[in-house]
This record gives sequence, C-alpha cells and structure tokens, in this order.
Amino acid sequence: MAIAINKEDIQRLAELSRIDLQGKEEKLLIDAEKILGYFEELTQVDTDGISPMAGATNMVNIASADDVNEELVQKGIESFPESVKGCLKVPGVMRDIKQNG
Amino acid sequence: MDKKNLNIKSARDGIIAGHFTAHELTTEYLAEAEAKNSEINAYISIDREKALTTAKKIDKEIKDGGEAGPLCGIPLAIKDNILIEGGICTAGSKLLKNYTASYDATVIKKLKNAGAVVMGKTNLDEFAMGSSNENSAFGAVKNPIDIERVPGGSSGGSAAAVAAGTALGALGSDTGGSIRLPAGFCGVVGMKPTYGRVSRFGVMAMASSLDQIGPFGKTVADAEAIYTVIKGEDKMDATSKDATESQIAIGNPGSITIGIPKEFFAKEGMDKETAEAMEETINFFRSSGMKIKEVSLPNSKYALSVYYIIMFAEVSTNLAKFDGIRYSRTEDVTDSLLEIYIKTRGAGFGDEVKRRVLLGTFVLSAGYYDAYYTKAQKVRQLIRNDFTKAFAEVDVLLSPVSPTVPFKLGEKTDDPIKMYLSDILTIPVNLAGLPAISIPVKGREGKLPIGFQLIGKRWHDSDLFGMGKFYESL
Repeated sequence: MAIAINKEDIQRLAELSRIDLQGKEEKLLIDAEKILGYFEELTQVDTDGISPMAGATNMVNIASADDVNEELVQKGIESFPESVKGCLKVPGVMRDIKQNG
Repeated sequence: MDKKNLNIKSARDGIIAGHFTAHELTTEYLAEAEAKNSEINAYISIDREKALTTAKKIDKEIKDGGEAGPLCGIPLAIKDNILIEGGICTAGSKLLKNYTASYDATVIKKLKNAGAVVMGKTNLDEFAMGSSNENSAFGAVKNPIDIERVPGGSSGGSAAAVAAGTALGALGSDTGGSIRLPAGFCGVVGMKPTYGRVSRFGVMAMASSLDQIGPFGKTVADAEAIYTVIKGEDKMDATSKDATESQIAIGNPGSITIGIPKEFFAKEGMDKETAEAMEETINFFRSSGMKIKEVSLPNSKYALSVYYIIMFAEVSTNLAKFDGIRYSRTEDVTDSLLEIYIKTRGAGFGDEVKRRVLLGTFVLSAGYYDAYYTKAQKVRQLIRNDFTKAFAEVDVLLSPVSPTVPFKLGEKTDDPIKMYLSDILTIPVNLAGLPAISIPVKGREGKLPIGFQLIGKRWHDSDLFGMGKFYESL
C-alpha cells in the first residue's frame, strides 16, 4: 500500500467528509503523510487465511422488535433545533428550478 | 468529616450512621470543585443546584427509613460525552456547546437509582479524541499533581476531578486507553471493563467496536463499587451482555500466575523511573507468593497502526451525524444544505477531529479499503489470538500503563505520531476487548504518579479488582 497522497486528495476527502478545512490543508497533508507512512508497517504482517475481526465480541446479530417509544420521540422533537407542530423543521433540500434559472 | 481520608464506603457509612448528611458532603465537594476549577479545569459544568437537590432527597429517604443505595450520597463526576437528561452535553466540542441531552444514558440511570449525586460534567479531549486532554474546546485540563503537566486523556477531567479531591469517583470512557492513561498520570484508579460488560447506550460513540464506559476511584474498592452498579446487560445496547464473573483465588497467591508481556517492556521509549517502578511492582507480587512468567504478544507491536486505522474509520462514520441540522445549529448559514454541513463541521470541529474524520474517510474509500481497513481488521484478529494464547498459561497480565511519567503541557501537541504513541500499552487491550485496570504504584508521594496495568481474561473483570485490592492491602 504505497502511499501517495497529495493536496488534491486532501481537498477531495474534505469534500466527502463535508468539512471546511479553513486553510489548514497544508498541515493536514503533512500529518496525513506521516500517519499513513507509519501504517506501512502492516504490509509486513502475513494475514493469509486470517478472517477480519469486525468487533470485540463474537456475538451473533439479533433483531429486536421495533418498539416506538413515544416519550422518547417527543423528547427528540423537543431537543431538535427547530420544529413545527410535531414535525422536525430542516432547511430545504429541493429548490425551485425556475427560481434558479 | 475528614474529607481527605474518605472513600466511597466510609462516606456512605457516615451518611447512613448520621455522622454527616449527603447534603453536607455534597456542599463540601462542590466548594472544593468550584475553588479548584479555575486552575485545574476538570469540569466543563458544575450543577450545584441539581447536586444539592439530589443530596437533600437522599437525606430525606434515609431519614424516612428508605433503603440506602450502594452509592447513596456519593458525589460523582461524569465525563461530558455521557448523556444526562436535560443537561448540556458538549463532548468537549464547540459544535455541541448548546446541545441538551434528551435522555439519561443507561449508566446514569443506574447511578441515579444507586443514590449517587452527580456533581457535574468533566472536561475531555473533543469527542474523546486525544491522549493529553489538550484537544478540548473548553481548554486543557491540568494535572492536579503538577499543573505544568497533562492529566492524560481523553478522560482527563474525570481523573483530575478525583485526584484533586473534587469528587469521590467518576465515570470515563476508554477507546484506546482514555480511562487508564489519565488514571495512571493523575495517581488514581481507573478501570476499563470487558467490551460488552457496561452498556454504551447514551455515551457519544467514538469508535463503537472499541468504546467502553468505566469507573475512576481513589482506591480499587471505590472503582469496584461504581463498576458493580453500572455493569450489566441492557436491551438498548445489543453488544452488552451479562456474564458469570470468575474470581481467581486471591486467598491462595501460589495458585496465581502473572504474565509479563515482554513486548510491553521494550527498553526504548520507557523512562528509567517507570522501569524501576514496574520492577518493584513485579517483585511485590512475586514475594507474595504469586508466580511470574514472561509471555510474548508478538503482534502487539502493530497495535498502534491497527488501532488508528480502525478508530479513524469508525470515527468518520460515527461523526457524520454532526451535520448542523440535528443536535445543534451553530452557524448562521442559509444558502444551501451542503453549505450548512461544510461550514458547521468546519467551524465546530477542532483540528484533531478533522484529521481523524478525513483519514477515516481515506481508509474506507474505494481502492484503499482492503489495503488499510480490512488489513487492520485481520491484524486485529492476530493481536487477539496472541492474548488468547498468553491467557492459556497465565491468569492476568501486568505492564506499565504508559512508558513515561506525565509529560508537560504542549510537549507533544505538534506531532500527532508522538502523541498517539502515548497509548501504545493500552491500545492492544481495546482491540482484544479485554478488561484492564490502572492502579497507582505505591510509595510515590511527592513524586509524579506511575500506574501499572493489570489485564484480565474476557469477562474476568472481578479478577482485576481482587488483584488490585490485594496489592493495596499490603
């Protein structure tokens, strides 16, 4: 896993992560190179036939009943930054095409 | 009341016997916490009114002949990434500075039922990301033993609160050492339970396959008293589980074998003081009749890389929900949804959080996923296998908590790798999901604290308390 990470990669990762880096791209790139360089040591480890360990327990997934806790729903709405008549109010996602030309 | 020598048991006994009231005890601790906070900065918020109301209620219950809970009237400090209904919960982040929690974490419910008095919320590295408690949006925490030094992180506020005598115990969370390192640096006891032993419902997730809530106390018995209350299966956390806890025969030291993982005693990087303190500790157990056996955990040398890859990946996923729409709106941006996300996260997250989210996004991205994330998960399996092999021969493992004594504020903030290396001896435990406890080495009054770590078999949490109390009692 030879690492080659550049300023454009950092920019792209910032876009994907939805983060404004506020001019700190340079420092982040230097740190990222160092950190990813450190991870190179894992290439030495023979992991043939080893299965990935996804969690700290060997528990099997179970499904629980989908019980609605009305009280918690209410509290969730109350703690949401904005709400109208029991509905969460969020900024618009769609736009009027005509308005935007 | 002799506050200095109080512990959880004697404080509870004192309240029940009527030597002092929970209200008096809480008043004393509040005064201490408020007086010391400008210097130590252990608390992000202290809730005087609520603490005193709770204490009064407990006094009344006891007066009316009600049953006294196992932690009745005990002033506790709670890491500010654990939710308490109706209270602000910041996770040490600017992004959540106005976020009010809608419900109690399961551990909080249990503490309340046990009669505990919550003093306030303690400072931490932002979203529990850090080893020195210098990454908080609310300022660094100072080590009460030497205020020029760090308390360790990320539960630095909780450790400092107990060490400074501003609470009788505390809760923290440990993802890669965040309870044990600050406990070691501040000279208190800190314990990370087996993964799954304590419900994570209501703790803000950092890395879900590694996080575990655990107690801090002045003594092993104090940490155990809190642990006993908070442990147990919870239907709100599918990874939590009840398990029978075996107890090694402490009364028969000759039957106990302590493993010394040679890789944890590497000469380079460990300071002389720590090496000497470990030798003393090992000799202590040897002279009590326990057997000492060197063991090898060969893959643990890769633990730092494995841990940081997996944790970055889980962090980038878990923190996606902090988008400026839910939980909080901090930025006045109305142009577009995308802009709200980008600006809120840009202004709300600190540098370390940004670094981890970005690198997590990188290791999970197409083309790199297998080389980094899958590879790390495989080596994680090897690290766990090493522990399983070692535990076939020994009952517990002993090592330092940190290769060095607490470092100075600012000493490592410019070099992330140097900072990450602070956790080198605690991380393997989280990767394997094992329990471990950090206990201060005795006889270091007037010197910087050094902690030693006992690591137990999975679900053998009580072995660690047994061993710890044995060490403290002699």
